[in-house]
Amino acid sequence: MNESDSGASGRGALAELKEAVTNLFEQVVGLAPDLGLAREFPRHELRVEDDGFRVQVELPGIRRDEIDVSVSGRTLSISSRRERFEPPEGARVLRSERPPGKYELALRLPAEVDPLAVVARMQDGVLDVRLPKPSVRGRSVRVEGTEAEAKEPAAEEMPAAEETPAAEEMPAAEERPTQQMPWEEGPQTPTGEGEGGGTQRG
Amino acid sequence: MGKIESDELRDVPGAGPSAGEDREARARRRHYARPAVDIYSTESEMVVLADMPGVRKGDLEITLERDELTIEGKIAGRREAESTLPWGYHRRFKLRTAFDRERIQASLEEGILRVTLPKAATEQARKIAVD
Repeated sequence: MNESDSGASGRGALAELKEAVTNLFEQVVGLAPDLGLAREFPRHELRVEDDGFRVQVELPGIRRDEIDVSVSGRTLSISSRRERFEPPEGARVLRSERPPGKYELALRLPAEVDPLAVVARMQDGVLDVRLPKPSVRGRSVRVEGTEAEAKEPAAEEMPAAEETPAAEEMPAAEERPTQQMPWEEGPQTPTGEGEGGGTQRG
Repeated sequence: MGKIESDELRDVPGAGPSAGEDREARARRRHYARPAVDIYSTESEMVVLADMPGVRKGDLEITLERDELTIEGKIAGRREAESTLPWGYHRRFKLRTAFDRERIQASLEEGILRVTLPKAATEQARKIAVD
């Protein structure tokens, strides 16, 4: 009786093991195409666009107030974290793949950007950051001195110079309604430390 | 990767390259990613959570055909932009439990798909009887 029992459970265990191995194999094979991408977690992309750069980062399940984005010199830093998913009490866990923990990303940008013009947006679990290049035209600088030194009322030229429509170089105004990133609260004003001062925007 | 419990569901591997595949099939095979999932099961239901960032509600397709559950979502604009990020997500599971098809529910929030599959009454009764 014992023997037949152990025989039956033995066959069952073998079938189970075979099934488990098959299953594991399928999972590994199925995952293989993703392994390369998984290493650069979170998955992201940097694109060069006409007016600057665009970075997209996959951050599923993360709300916009849970993300820190900052630009310092040519480095774009993004950090957030996701809590481990807790199934209800007593549930059987069949798969547990969604990665919890810290999401951190520091990207070296190919060129300088205007830190004040950076805009970030979170939609459908994807963070979309647009980083415009600094205005190429720069701005004209008024030379200060005493009134006597300014013989002509240079008013003819100066206003024109001040109106330098540097905005033409920038993305449309509605694309950057605020100078700060929408969820930036206090401490992280996006001032680039490495910015070169005068050559910013007009 | 989590625990493997084969008696309730298993993954159906994606199709490999095939000789006769068309442009569409090739693009999908190359550019669609396999979403990471958390799946749990209680006496009354099975719940699938899948990371599918970028997918909008209207671009989501969930089907339960016989015992095969397919979740698929396209990401608008990725293909046109020839993005290196996934153009969509696709994954299939074989289910070993009977579900009440009429009551299957799905929602999508912040890039996470949640599918709730209520177990068929017969299934629940059977479970209880065994216990």
